[in-house]
Amino acid sequence: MPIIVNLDVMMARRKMSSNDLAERISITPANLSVLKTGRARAIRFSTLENICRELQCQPSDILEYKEESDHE
Amino acid sequence: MWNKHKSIVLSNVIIKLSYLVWLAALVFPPYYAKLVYAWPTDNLPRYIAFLSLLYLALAVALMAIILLDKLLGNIKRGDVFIAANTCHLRAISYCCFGVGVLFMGFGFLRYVGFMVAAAMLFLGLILRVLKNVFEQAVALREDNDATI
Repeated sequence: MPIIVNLDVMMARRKMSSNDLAERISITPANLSVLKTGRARAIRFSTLENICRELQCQPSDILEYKEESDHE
Repeated sequence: MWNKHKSIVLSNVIIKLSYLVWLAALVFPPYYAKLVYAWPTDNLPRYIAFLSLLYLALAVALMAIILLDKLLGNIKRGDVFIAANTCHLRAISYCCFGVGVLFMGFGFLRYVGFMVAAAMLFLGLILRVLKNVFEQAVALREDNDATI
């Protein structure tokens, strides 16, 4: 998947655990794990908004685009 | 007040009744075959062929009833748009096509066979299109489930 979700970096900077973030943005820890591990096919704007609010960041801080050919 | 749960219960009751009707139908083929092909022995091969056709159709009908039962069981559990249900619908449509083809062959001997064949082939077509709809719904549900 060319879109990479870099949640771990921002969560480490804000010293927030997965369970904590999941509770704050009203999704299950399992769904947060799906997001972090790149298994999600889409993200709702409402979820993205909640993540950016809780991690005090911009969407570009957690979303990255990488061409498939760049993967080794 | 009518609701989804009562609708599923009604469908379940009708399917269970279908099993009973199927059991009752097991005794009729010899009598029906005798009506179509009177008993003189020169008609014996056709009588046997038609009797075999009827029992084959009953076997396929049982398969279809069992598949419908499984399909409804999945729906009762809340598993509606899943790949298994698509397979069940596909199989039921093949059952209808199969019986349609069998009666089409019989239609060359008795024209009423063509009418039964047409009805079964059309029913099979409806179920096939419904299977296509379910396939799309399964894909949509998987996309929705993977949307966080």
